[in-house]
Parts: sequence; structure tokens; C-alpha cells
Amino acid sequence: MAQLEIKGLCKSFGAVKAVDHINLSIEEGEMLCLLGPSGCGKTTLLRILSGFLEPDEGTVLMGGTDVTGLPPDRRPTSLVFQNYALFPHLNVYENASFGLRLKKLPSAEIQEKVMTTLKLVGLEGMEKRAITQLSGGQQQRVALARALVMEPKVLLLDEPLSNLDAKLRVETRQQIRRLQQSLGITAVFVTHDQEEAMSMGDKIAILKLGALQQLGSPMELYRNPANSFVAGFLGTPAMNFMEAVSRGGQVTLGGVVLSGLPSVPDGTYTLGIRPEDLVLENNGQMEPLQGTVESVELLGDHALVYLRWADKAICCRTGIPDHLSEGDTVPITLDLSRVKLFDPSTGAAL
Amino acid sequence: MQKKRARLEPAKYLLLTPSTVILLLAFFIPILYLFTLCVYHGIPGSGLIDYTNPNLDNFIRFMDPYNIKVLVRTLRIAFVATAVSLVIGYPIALSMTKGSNLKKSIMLALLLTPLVTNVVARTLGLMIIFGNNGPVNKIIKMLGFEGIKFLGEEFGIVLGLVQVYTPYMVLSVKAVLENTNFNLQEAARDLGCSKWQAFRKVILPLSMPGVVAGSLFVFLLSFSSYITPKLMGKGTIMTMSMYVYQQGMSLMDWPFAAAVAIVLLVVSLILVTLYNKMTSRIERMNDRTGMYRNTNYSSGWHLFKARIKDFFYDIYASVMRKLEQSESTKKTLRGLSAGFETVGTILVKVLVVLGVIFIICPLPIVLISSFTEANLVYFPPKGFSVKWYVGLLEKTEYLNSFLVSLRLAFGAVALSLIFGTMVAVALTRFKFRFAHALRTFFLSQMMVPGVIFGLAAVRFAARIGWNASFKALFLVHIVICSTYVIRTVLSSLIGFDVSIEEAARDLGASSWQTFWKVTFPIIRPSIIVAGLFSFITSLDETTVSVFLVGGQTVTLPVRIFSQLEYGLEPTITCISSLLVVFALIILLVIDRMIGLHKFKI
Repeated sequence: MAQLEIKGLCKSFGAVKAVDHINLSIEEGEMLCLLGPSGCGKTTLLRILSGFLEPDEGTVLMGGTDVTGLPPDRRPTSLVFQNYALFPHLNVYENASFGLRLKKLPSAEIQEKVMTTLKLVGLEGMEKRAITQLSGGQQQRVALARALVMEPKVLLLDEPLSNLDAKLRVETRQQIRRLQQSLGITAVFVTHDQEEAMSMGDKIAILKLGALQQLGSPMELYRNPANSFVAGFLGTPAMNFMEAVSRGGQVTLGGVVLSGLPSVPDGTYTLGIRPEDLVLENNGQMEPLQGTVESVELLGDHALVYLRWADKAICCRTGIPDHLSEGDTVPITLDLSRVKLFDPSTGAAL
Repeated sequence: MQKKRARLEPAKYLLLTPSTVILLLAFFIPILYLFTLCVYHGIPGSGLIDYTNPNLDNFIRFMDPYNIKVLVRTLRIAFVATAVSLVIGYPIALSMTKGSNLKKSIMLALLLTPLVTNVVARTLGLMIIFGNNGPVNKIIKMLGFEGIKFLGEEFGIVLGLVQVYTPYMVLSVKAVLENTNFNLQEAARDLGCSKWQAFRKVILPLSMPGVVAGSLFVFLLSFSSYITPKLMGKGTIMTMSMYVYQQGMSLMDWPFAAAVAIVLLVVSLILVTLYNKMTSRIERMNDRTGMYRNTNYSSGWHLFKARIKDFFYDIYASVMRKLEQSESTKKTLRGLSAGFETVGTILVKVLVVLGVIFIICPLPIVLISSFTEANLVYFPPKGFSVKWYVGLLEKTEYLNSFLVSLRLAFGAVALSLIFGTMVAVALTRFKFRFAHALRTFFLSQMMVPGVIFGLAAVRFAARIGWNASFKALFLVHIVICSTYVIRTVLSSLIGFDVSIEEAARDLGASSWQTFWKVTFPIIRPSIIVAGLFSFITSLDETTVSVFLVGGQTVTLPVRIFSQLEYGLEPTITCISSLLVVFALIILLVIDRMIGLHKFKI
């Protein structure tokens, strides 16, 4: 049975559809990342899950129980806020025990649970600290502990890493992921950072303008994007898009025949290929396209080569290209097994 | 560079000179002179002073039961007024932090309008409302109860003070609430708090600094207030300020009046110090609630508190757990708390509406009453006519007073703007050895109750032969206006990004050019607001002026005030209405200039 199930969820603010008929479900112990550009409705969805917003339509089930109409204080969820929202007038221990006292547990039991959780997030011995004496990373962990100690059916995280510096962010996301996996917590993680989503999620849901674009494992989404939005949103640098033509079961790109692609009806298509699936030599799969090197960006162990072909900008990820310089004409070939075709009007993958 | 600095050195003292001279001459020296009198013996009724045997008899005399009773009564009135204004003001402040911008602006305008309206005009409104035949008593009688006497009673004074000072309470609490991160309320809800619990456990404790600061401020103002207690108490309920006035001006026992003034000042200064402590704590709060940084949670005291809390919590929690074991009791409890919350929310909303009505209503009541046909002031007015307005033109004494007030206000504001801005610039752009003390020196007029300033000024003016002169009144108004100008311009210069000035210097502007081309245009709005507000302040000033006026130099509010001491009269409602309209216009201009929400009192 799914631990969290969302059915036909809708929420509008005036004319804006912030959440548009979303269906999804995750199993117990899974981490779902809600990913999308700002304004895609991911925060609205999270606020509906935590009970701060009531949906116009649809239901939310947690552990099989309908929680749609419940206020936040009676939901089996805990939210980790983006700015942590720690109570500044309480110390670390008082923050972490805040929710359990409202549950009216005996204080001895509360102490045991809080201490265990603080140890878990690495805040042992800090329980008497004032919130404002803590660093950003420590505050973040207090917020996490405060939510974890409630043993929520679903843990909700609203961009919890966005206020940390780059190095700490990577460390913390690994820590959160380890904790979530070892404790077997079901979690929903909102982020606009695709790297974060790819590295943390068991599943990723990509949203655009309130509508769910695709739900799947990170690898599924990366390799088999459902549409050109998902394909273009995931991956840096972004996927290259070119125009391809299909005639009589044969797909051609700038006059070059691409053999071995699944046959599609006659027409114009958007062809997508990731920068790492291009090579600047003849790979034997097709007749090379002739591109001009515009610039080369060295990134340590690899490089990005920006090319121009048939008036289109193309990016290619290669090893260190010792011999390339601006203005050179180079052969470009595509790994045809990785080529994606999209319907140019709907964007849907074929 | 070194040379340039040295050349500028004398300039900074020049900037301070005019204000310093005026402040010393019209404020500090008179007050010190007054205080030296307290050790002598006054000969009551004659105004003469026996300088022979300096001693502390006046303070011993103050210890007699009657005088102590006056002090205690004043403290009691101030305390009750503070408590009531907190009960009314807190919900208003809270509701002002929520809802649409339109609602916020309307509420702010409703609060600020009375604040900038002449206090005498406002109190006049209250006298109409709570008069023996006023609308409140009419309603009470209609309901079949016996009428209540408000005027001439302590309760009436409390009502007056609450109406006059609650806006300060609201603004003070609102300032802190607005800085409170409302995510915290959501976090509390997420962790299982009901709306009421979230308020009690998170929002209320976090707003305490605002509550304390607002309460101290209202207490201070109420304690040293003169106009409102005098009018609402009909002069029969003696408070400290009235006592100072009576001893000095009626009985002419100057030494004893000085002693009472010292007692009044000491209490006020204690309150001011506490208030300043609290506001600086609130300012520190703005950098991510830094005020809690120094709390030591490992101290024995905190551990002890936590123990006690846990003890009571465990008793409560175990009882609740027992009760909630049965599903039906759990449901009942939940229903009860939900019901309590709904009723509470409605009650608070009603309280907010009633509170705002109470604060604003004196103004429309004065306006409406002024169109009466009758020869006495009634509400609702009998008939409709503008005859009292037409009649105004024939009352030359009011016209004269109006001219006196205008001359005072224009003159005082013009000079204060120049001298005050000079001080503000000097204090922020040059280094002074005792910068903090200097700032306190220039703002000290605000900390001294008006009656003390008035008494000192009139005594000193008499000493140098300026009694009942326009000159003395003028100097006093400059002191009052320039204090406000200095404070307003200072705060805008402190919040000023100095790197903008450095950029101008880097691009080749001299320090003089930098001021005129960069600094001045940026602080101009706050200078204009300071000018407008000090104009109103001067035009409204009653407490100090009441000591200084003489035959030809009665200001308009003082004229209304002394008329009100005899009784209500339609002419006064007309003039007060004009003052209300005038305040509205000024407020509108301020709103256009900088926006009401940025306006600080």
C-alpha cells in the first residue's frame, strides 16, 4: 500500500492554476523529490500536503487514511522549513521537544526521544544552546531533528538546503539521505536544484505550471524523458535540440541519414541529444556533420566544446581537447542509440 | 588629507552651536534654575521666596499623606490606563499584521489621525461622548440603568488617557510583530499547536519586548500627562502634573512646586531608562532575533525553571492522557477547544472593531457636533446650522490666538529645520568624543514631562524679565520642534548607505557638493516630514504653552483648553473641527510624501 497517495489534486489562486490535476503515489520509505522551476507549483503542493492550504479538488491519503480536510496540527506530517523557522525564544532542546509536549508524552520519554534524535543528527551536547548561537548548518539540523522526533508518516522538506553554502549543501544532502534511508522514512523533498533531486530522490516528480510532467526514478527521467520539457530541464549543460525530418520511414538531420532509429510517420520532429552523447570524430554510426568550434570551456577532467552547425548552437562534452581551437571545423557524430525524438507541437517523446 | 580634516574640525562645532545655545538657554538652564529653588522656603500665595535657610524641608513636606496620595493616585491611573490600552491595543496590532494591504492602510490611518490631532480637540470629543447627557449615558439610561458619571472621576481620566495613548501601544507592539517571522506560527501549527496554542507559545512570547516597550511608553505618557487628566477630571482629581501646576501657578509656592517636579522627573527618568533599554533590545532583535543570543540556558536558574516546568507539565500531561483515553472525552475536549477558539476569535474581532471605533470616534463626534443649532453642545446635535462657524469670524480673540499659533509654528519650524538638520548632519558625519552623550543632550527634551519644562520656562522667563512675552514662547517652541527634527533626520541619516557619499567623493565632489547633490536629496523627504510634523506639534502644543501665555500671546490650543475648563461651547467644537480637518490634510501630505507606514512618531 502506498504511504502517500495524491489523487486529482487541484488548487487555483484566482486565474492561476498552481496545482493542476496531480496524481502521484510513493511507497513507504521512499524519498520523492518535487522538482521544477520557480512558480511550477511545488511549494503549493507541499503546503497542501502539510495542511496549510486546502485543495480545491482531489484527495490526499497518508498510510491509507484520507487527511485532505485535516488542519496542520492534526496531520501525521512534519515540515522542515526553508528558513528553518526555529523558535528563537527556545533553546535547541526546547525546539526539538516542542511537538512532543503538545502530544502530552511524559517528559522522561520526551527526553529520551529528543536526545536520540539530536545524537542522530550530530547535535549531541548542544541541547542547551540558544538557536542564535548556532551556525546555519547546525540550525538546519535542529530543524531536521524537530521534524524527525515527531516520527511523521510523511516528512516534508521545503528546499531545506537552499540557505547553506555549496560545500555544506553536498554534505548535508548526503546526511539527510542516509538518515532517511536508515530510518525508513517516507519523505517529500521540494527543490529547484536538479542535482539535489537526482542525487537524493528515489523518485522525481517534475512539475511545470502546476501540472505533473513525469514521475519516475532519476535514471528513468534522465534516459527516457516523457517530453522535451523534462529532457531540457534535466542535465547540465542542457540537451541539444535540433530539427529532424522523417520521410518514408527515414529520419534525416541536415540531409544526413540517421539509420537505425525507430520509424516514425512523415513530418518534422525535434531531435534531442545530450552533450555527452556527441563525439567530435567519426563514430561510424552516421556520416559526420561539419561544425565550427566557437569556444572551448575547460572543466578540469573534461571540457565543453561549443559548436555551431547549420546556424545552431551545439554543446558537446569531451575529454581534454588538446588539438582544438576556435574556428576549427570538426566532424560531429551522434550516438544514435541515445537520440530522442519529440513531437514539435506537443513536446511529447516518441 | 590630514590638513583637510583639521580644517573641517571647527565646522562640526559650528553646526552644533545654534541648537546648543537655544537648548541651554530655553531648556537646561531654566530647569536647573528651577531645581535650585527646591531647597528654599516659599511663602505661599505671595510668590516670594525665603532664600535664607536652604534645607530639604520641601521633600519632607512631600511625604505627607495627601501628597503621597496624589503620587499613588497618579501611578494608579497610569497603571490602569496602560493595562486597558494593552488589552485594546494588542489585538489591534495583531490584526494589523494580517490581511490585505488596504485593510492595513485603513487601520493605520484610523490610528494615526487621532495621534496627529490636537489633544484638546480629541479630549473635547471624549467630553461630549462621556458627558452626563452624552451619547454613552443616553444609551445607558435607555437600557434602564442609572447614568454613570465619567467626567470628574478617575475612570473618566483613564478613558481619556486610553483614547489618547493607545495608538502608541499599537505602533510599538506592531513594530515587533512585523519583525516576527510568521513562518514560526506555521512551524508551531505543523508540530501540533492549535491556532490559540501557536499564539500563546510562539507569537505572544516573541512580541513581549514590544508589549513591555509600549506599556512603559504609555505608562510614562499617562503618568506625566496634564491636559487629559485636567479636562476629563474636571480639575477635581489631582494628579502629579496638575499638582505641579497648582503649586507653581496658583499658589505660587515655587520651591515646593520645584520639589514636586523633581519627584515627577525622577519617576519619569526611571521609566525612560527602562524604555530605552527595551527599545535597544528590540533593535538588536532585527538582526535575526539576536536578543536571545545571550540567554544562558545552562545556568542554574534556567535548569531550575525547566525542572519546575517539567514537573507541572507531567501532571498536566498525565491527566490529559487519562482523559483522552476514552474516545468520547477526547471528542468532547476537542469540541470544547474548537468552540473556545471560535468564540475567542469572534470576541477578539469584536474587541478590535470596538477599540478602533473608540480611538477614532472623538474626531467625527466633534465634527458632527459643531453643526448644531443649539447654544449648547449635544450629540447628536440639535438641528443643523453653520451659524457657529460664521460666528467664529466675530470672535477676535480666537482669530488672534490663531495668528499667534501660526506665527509661532512657522517661525519655530523654519529655524528648527535649519538648526536641527545641522545637528543631525554633524552627529552622523563627524566623530565626537562623547557622541552618545551629545545625542542624549539634543533629544533630552523628550524625556522631561511638559509641566516641568513649562514651569521651569515660566520661572526663568520671569527671572530675566521676559514674562508673558512672545520671545519665551517662541524659544520653547523651537526647542520642542527641533528635538523632533533632530530625531527624524538623525534616523534617516543613520540608515543612510555611506558608500553612496563615498562614491560621490570618489567621482570628484567636494564634501559640500556631496551634501547638496547626494545626501540632501536623499534625506529631503524625512526633512519635509519632520517639518510637517513639527508644525503640527507646535500648533498643538498645550502643556508647556499653558504656563507661558500672557494677555496678547495666548495660543489657539491654550485658548480652547482654558475655555473647556469652564464648559463646553459650540464655538470650540468648530475650532476643534477645523484642527481635525487640518490634521487630516497634514497626514494626507505625509502619506503622499513617504507613505504612512514609514511614518514614525
